[in-house]
Order: sequence, then structure tokens, then C-alpha cells
Amino acid sequence: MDDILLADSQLDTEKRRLLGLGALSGFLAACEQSRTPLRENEGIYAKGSDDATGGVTDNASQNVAEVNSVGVDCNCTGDATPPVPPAAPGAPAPVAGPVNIPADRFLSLRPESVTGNRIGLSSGDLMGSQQTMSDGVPINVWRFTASGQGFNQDRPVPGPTIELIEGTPVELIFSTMHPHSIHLHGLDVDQLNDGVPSTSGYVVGMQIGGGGLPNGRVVGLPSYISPHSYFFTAPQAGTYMYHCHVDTVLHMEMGMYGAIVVRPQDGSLNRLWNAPDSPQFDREFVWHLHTFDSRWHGLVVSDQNTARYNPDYFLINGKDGVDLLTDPVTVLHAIANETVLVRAVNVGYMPAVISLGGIVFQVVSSDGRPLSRPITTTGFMVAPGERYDLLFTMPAAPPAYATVNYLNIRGQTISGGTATTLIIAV
Amino acid sequence: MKRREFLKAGLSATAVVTIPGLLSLPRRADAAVLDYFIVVEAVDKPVYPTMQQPVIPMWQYIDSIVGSQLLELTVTAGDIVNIILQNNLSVAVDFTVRGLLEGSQPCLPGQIQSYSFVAPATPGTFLFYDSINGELGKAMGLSGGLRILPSDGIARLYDGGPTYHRDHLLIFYDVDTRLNEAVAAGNVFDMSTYQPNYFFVNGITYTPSQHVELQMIVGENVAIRFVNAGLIYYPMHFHGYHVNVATRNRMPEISVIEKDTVLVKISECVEVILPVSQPGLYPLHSHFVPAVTNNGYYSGGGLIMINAA
Repeated sequence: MDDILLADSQLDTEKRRLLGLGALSGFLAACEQSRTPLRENEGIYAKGSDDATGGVTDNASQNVAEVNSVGVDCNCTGDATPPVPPAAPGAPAPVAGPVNIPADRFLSLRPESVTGNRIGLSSGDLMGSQQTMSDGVPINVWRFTASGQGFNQDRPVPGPTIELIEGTPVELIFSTMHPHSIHLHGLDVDQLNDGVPSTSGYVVGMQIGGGGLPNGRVVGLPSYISPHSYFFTAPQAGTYMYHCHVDTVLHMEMGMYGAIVVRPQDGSLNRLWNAPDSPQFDREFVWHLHTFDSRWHGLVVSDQNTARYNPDYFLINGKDGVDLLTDPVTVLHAIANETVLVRAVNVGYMPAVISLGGIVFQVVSSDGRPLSRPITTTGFMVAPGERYDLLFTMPAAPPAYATVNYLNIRGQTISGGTATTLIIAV
Repeated sequence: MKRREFLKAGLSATAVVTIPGLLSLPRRADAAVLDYFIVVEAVDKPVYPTMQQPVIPMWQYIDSIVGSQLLELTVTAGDIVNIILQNNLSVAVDFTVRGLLEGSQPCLPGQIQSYSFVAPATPGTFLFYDSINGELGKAMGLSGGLRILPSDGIARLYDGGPTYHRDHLLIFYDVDTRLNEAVAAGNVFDMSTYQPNYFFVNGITYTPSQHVELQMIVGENVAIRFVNAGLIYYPMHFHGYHVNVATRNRMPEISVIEKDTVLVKISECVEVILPVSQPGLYPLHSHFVPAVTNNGYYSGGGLIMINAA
């Protein structure tokens, strides 16, 4: 871990780069560099992407590109309200439009957050999706993207954060060429919309078998369809996740996951849940906790190679190593005395112990439900599949580093298994 | 009683092992004296009951009266339980119930040793295992779960605790076949390299035609007792439902209660109440997804199905 700690002088330079002259303008600039601009009218898939569905695409998925509401315009300035997209002909009228998310708060979430009542996701896999790690090694990944936006070259994984409002009906339209599904983890949807091939009766995408690629170890005779709509009601406000549930052991590890943030019923962006006693926060971060085992990332189907998992990359939000020290969606940055929320989402296979350099924080909710009694601590473990919401007050002079220590599935420390990022008070 | 139903289901090779769960709780005036004649044997366990291969060399507590593995023990509060252990292995073993019966005399190879305890007056879930061989005994299969039911007929997890309509006991263990093969060959295995490749719940690894399926009815509160008799963490994720964590190692949970993913650490017993809020067929599985495979092939391992009518 020592090789990624910055010397004091380097730290100062890094802080200045991120902070500008004490304002948040540096973050805005960093965010600008880390995202690709929206491509509103280029059709569903960016040129050169492997998402082209050829004959599978029909008009329904064409319109998906128009229904995604992204919470901020790509210039990252001001309080621009994205236009409410027109509904496809014959589609039910959308319920009250997208929430106006102020730009500087939105910066803390995954840049490609998608919100609204009709959301389109696509998948990219098997060709041309690579995540370059901090050591320069490109890793093959499979990922979800927001339909109509191509994919983020800089950060293919994790997938877009889906932002919803508690109690609203949602249609999630998924288009893909290869066999995949979306399991809405923790949302307690019904069997038909649960995204499990053997219980829902279908897989999204095309069955590819015979002389071609394996069909993702799907048992039985589900239907293969694309696009496919998942219908559900956004559950109790809190933090959830989604991931592919076809040949899950491999597809999930390859990167097919993302976070779901459900806002309180009034759509407020600074409260965790509805009740008047809900904690409030000034700044919000989503931390996807995950690892890669690079040996798995050349596989196309689960087999004896996926019997044992030995991660060699330890990530937060798709970044690792030194890249985490300059990642504007991971570095915990706030004005001194602000309340900061970290939504920890373990989309990986390793328990993860979060420490904020000694800052005392409160664990207030988990799996979309408030804790009966908040936990006050300086270190907390998030097991695979769990989510925890952590709150702390940014001190005026915070410790420099926050760490995520990944343990193996026996609860033992992994040598080199720590992801480190910065804590910065303005 | 439940054991025999389980055994019958196992003999029917293509049957899903549907577990209705204990439904009625008789009231007992007098404590029973229960004798279990257990033989500790080296066995070759077939991974799939319908197939002769692969087999895993294991050590098991065998109930010599019933003729099958003693994996689950259910008694009533106040019962006197006598485990008469006959050791047919070449190493010493014992019978330990974590938190209830510890520090007993070992049972030497070829000998018979008696282990007795009184089931506590309060209900609860315990882990039993061999403590003489450290982790190796558990890794070879000497472990299981003990459930203590209340004696007054009122179905509850602990005195003053949540009541339930149905009761399911789920016992997890995992196997690293490299270890078992080393032990069978008389070689040493470095436990620090332990990485299991087969995973069992109630002695079964998931296949579409044979797996554990928990029956329940919408509107019920269902008690689910997880016993981690294995050597890895089991973060158990429920599809379709949130549950209320009631106890961890018989201590009432006061903080992290309502969950869709419940971590069961090594040697831990966790009891939850599932309010069955909707019908359907839903998976329940570890989110360390390699534990949902059979030697890496998905799906398999410790995958459980919930069937709510």
C-alpha cells in the first residue's frame, strides 16, 4: 500500500488540482474530463460499440434512447433541468417528470445516472469493452450502459446509477444481443420481474449456442427476447443494486452491475427516507465496492475456472490504485462541517471493511431500511450483496486517506487488498 | 420425524427436496431422555445422489439407528440428550456443541465415548462439530446444527422473542476437494490455502432436479435458522423479500434488523423471521456467488428456492 500514498508535496498539488483555488470548480473540470458527452441523436449505440443489435432492435428500443432522463446536462453547470422526453406513441403517459438535480450534488454520483419512470439500459460485452487499470493493464469487462448514451470509455464499469422516487411505477427497458437479465437486488419485485431465468421464464437477448458462443449456462427452455421491460414500483427509499442473473458467477464478476438510489417520496435530494427524523446530508457519494480476478476476464462461460476466486485488482467505483486518488466520484470531498453520505454498495465477492482514516461515522441504514439503532464507529464491514449508508461530518482538517480493506471469504486480510482514496475538506 | 422425511425424499432421486418446515409444536409435560448412537465413519459422499461420480472422501457422524448422516438434531427445551459416539476413524474426535457442550473428553480411535447435555430451558440454534481436529474436522464433514424448540407449545425463537408459523433449519458446509483427497491419501493439507469448490445446504448441492425448496404460505411469519457449519462466510441474499434478523448466536439483534442480505459468519448461528409478503418462487443464495456453483459451473452449490403459495 505504501507505493500509492502520496508524499505531502504531491498531495498538496493533487488537492490544488482537484479543488481549483479552494472552490469546487476543479472538481467540475475533473468531472468534465471523466465523462463522455451525451450523444442525443446518434441512435441507440455509439459508433464502433458492440451493442449493435442488428435485426433484434425494433421501434420500442429506438424510443428508449429518448426516454432516459439524465440528471444533469453534460456541461456540468448550473441547475439545468433536462427536457422531459416525449413518450413513444401508444405508451402510457409518464408520471410527474424528472427531478431537478443540482449539478454540484450530482457530481458525487456516477456520471451516467439515469432517472425517471421509463429507463433504458443496454449491455456491452464480448468485444471492445476494456477497463484500463492503474497499472496500465486493460481488463476485458462486460457492462450495462444507459441506452442511447454509448459507453464511458474511461469507466465502463460499474453501470449507470438508477435514481428513482419511492412509490413511483417504473418500466425498465433492457436491450441486449447476448443472453443477460437484470435482477433488481433488494427491490423485492415479483417473480415475473425478478430477472432469474429459471423462475421468470425468459432471458433477455439472443440464445447463442451450437458453433457460436455458449448460451450462458441457462437451464431449461426460457424465451429469449430483446428488448424486455421489467415493471415494478420503486421501493422504500434507500440504497439498492442491480446485476445480471444469467450465469451469474461470471457475468456479475465481469462487471454487469450498478447501484439503485431510491429517493424519498417528495423527491428530496438531501434526506435518506420519508420520516421527519430522517438524517439529512449535504453531499452524497456512491461507493461500489468490488474486485477483479483478471484470470476470469477472458472467459465466456462458467466452468472449473470459476470454482475459485482470487482477486488481483481492488476497486472502488471501477477504479483502483493511484487512479482512486484523483477520481472525482470517489474522493470524499466536501466543505468543512458539511454532512457527507456514503452509500456503500458491495457488488463484489469479497467482504470490504471501510475506514475513513479515523473519522467517526454513523451507519444509519442498510439494504434500503433504517437501522433500528444507528451504529457509531470508525470501521465497518460490508459483505457481498449488502448495502450500508454511512454519514459523517467533514472535519476542517480531515485525515488524508480513506481505505477499503478487502478480506477473503474466510474473513482474512488479503495481501495488497486495500483500495485507498482521499478525504478533502474545502 | 423430520429426519425420516428428509431421508425418504433423498431416496427419491429426482425429487426436489421440499421442506414444509416444522408446523406444529406439541406441548410436553416431561422432558425426554434422548439417546443417539452415532458412529464416526470415513465415507465416500456422492456429490449428486443420482450419479456415482464424483465422490468426496468425508468424515461423518452417522446415526446408526436411522442409517444416515446426523446433520440436523432437533430436541425440546429441557430434554436430556446423550450422544453415544463410536469412533471408527484412525484419529481422535469428539462431539462439541458450541456454547453448550465444550471441553469434553476426546473419543479415541476404536473407542466409545458418551457426550451428554441438557437442552437449555430457552429455545435456540446451535452448531455441533468435532473440536479435536481443529478446522480439519469440519472441513472433512464433522459438523451440523442443533435446534432446541420450546417445550410449552408456543413457537418462538427465544423467550420474549418473535413467534412464527413455520420453522426452517438450513445448515451450510463447504468442501475443498483438494483437502479431502489429501487426507484420504494420508497427506498434509495447508489450511491457509483452503478454497472450497463444492457447497452444500442440508447435505445437498443444487441441481435443477434436486435441491432444497422451502415451502411457505403468504401471510405467515417463517423462522429461518442459518447454521454455518462450514469454513467460509455465507452472505445470504433473499430474492423477493426482506427479513428481520432476530438473533446472532442466540443474542437478540438490536441494530441491523431488516435486511435482504444476511451475513452468516464462520461458526455463526443466525435466526431470521421472514414475513411472507408475496407469492412466488424465489432464490435464496450466498452472494459470494462461487458458492452457488458446482466446481465452478453455475448454478449449483448452496442455492435454495423459496416456494410461497
